[in-house]
Amino acid sequence: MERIVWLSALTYFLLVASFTFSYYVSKGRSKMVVIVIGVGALALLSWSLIDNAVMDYQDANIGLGLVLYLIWIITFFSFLFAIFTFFFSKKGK
Amino acid sequence: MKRIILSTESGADLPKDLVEKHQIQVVPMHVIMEGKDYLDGQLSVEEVFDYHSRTKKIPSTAATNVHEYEDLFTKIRTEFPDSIIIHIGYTSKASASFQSALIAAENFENLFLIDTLNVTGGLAAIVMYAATLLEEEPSIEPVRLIEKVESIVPKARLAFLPGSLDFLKAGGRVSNLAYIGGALLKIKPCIELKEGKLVSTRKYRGKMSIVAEKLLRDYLDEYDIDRKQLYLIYSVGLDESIKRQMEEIAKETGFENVTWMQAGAMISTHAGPGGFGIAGLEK
Repeated sequence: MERIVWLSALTYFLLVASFTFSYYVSKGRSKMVVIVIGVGALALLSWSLIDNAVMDYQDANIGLGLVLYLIWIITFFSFLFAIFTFFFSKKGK
Repeated sequence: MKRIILSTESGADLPKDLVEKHQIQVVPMHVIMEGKDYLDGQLSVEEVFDYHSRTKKIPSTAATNVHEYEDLFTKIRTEFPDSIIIHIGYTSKASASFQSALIAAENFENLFLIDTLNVTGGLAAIVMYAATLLEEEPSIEPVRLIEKVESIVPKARLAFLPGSLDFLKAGGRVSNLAYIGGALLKIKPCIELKEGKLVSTRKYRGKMSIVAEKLLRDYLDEYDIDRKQLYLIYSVGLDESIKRQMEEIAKETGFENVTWMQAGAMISTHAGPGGFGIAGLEK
């Protein structure tokens, strides 16, 4: 399988998993923020992949690579947020 | 014995001295700038770069047409009446030139066409391979020469780095995101000829002096290039110190001959100023 395919699939999976986790542990306004950032990240990743597949770029995937880095950073912080929220809410109970 | 005449397109970027020495017939391709059609070579590379700095656009390029090939082949036949013409052509995967040459060739006898699936230095390396064979063995049978040239076509390797992403961006070959990110992080794509098509294979990060050396070393690691000859390609604007550095590396890695070739307007419209490339033939 091409590297870009499994890398994109893994990125999608981690992004969706991380934001689903964040969504279920967050409350009130932060739920809204999680949705906005999550949908934004998904849209950016999808658009970049489609653009890269459709256009005959000769950029050695520089643009797509930068988007993937950004998505991984967002996923990482979303996961951190979910973990902290989860443990703090447990502590609160 | 009939004389064999070699011909190619201006997109081979063959240096003038080699063209004259081996009497290679070169047919110009086209550069279209501000709605005017120029033959490749009529416009200086500096004029192309100046056009880009004024308008942020790049000229478009066009193939040699059937009529121009007919004129070329007729001219060769007039100058060398009993000759055999071997046309070593620009990749058919990136230009309609070869198709035009095929159509033009229908009206000529003793005319053979070879699609090199290569451009600039890669094409020049194949043409020079044929010219050298012909020089060493003037009585070589045309069929034998064609066989040898055709066998070398899949062994021609070309890789180049554009000087900046500006010209690729202007030509729609990089996305806005790649352009901004690449410029900020000094990332350059390495462009190679794969099965006749220009494809970006990997990326390099840093100053041109550093990435040019990395490209040359990676290229020599990846391909087992015949140490007799290496072609180094530059577009106007490449620093002289980088040229000296590349030449030193080539000599130190065992190359007997290193030939510098300046990318013409046709290739420079893609690579932009300060680009660097390498071409050679695998063993």
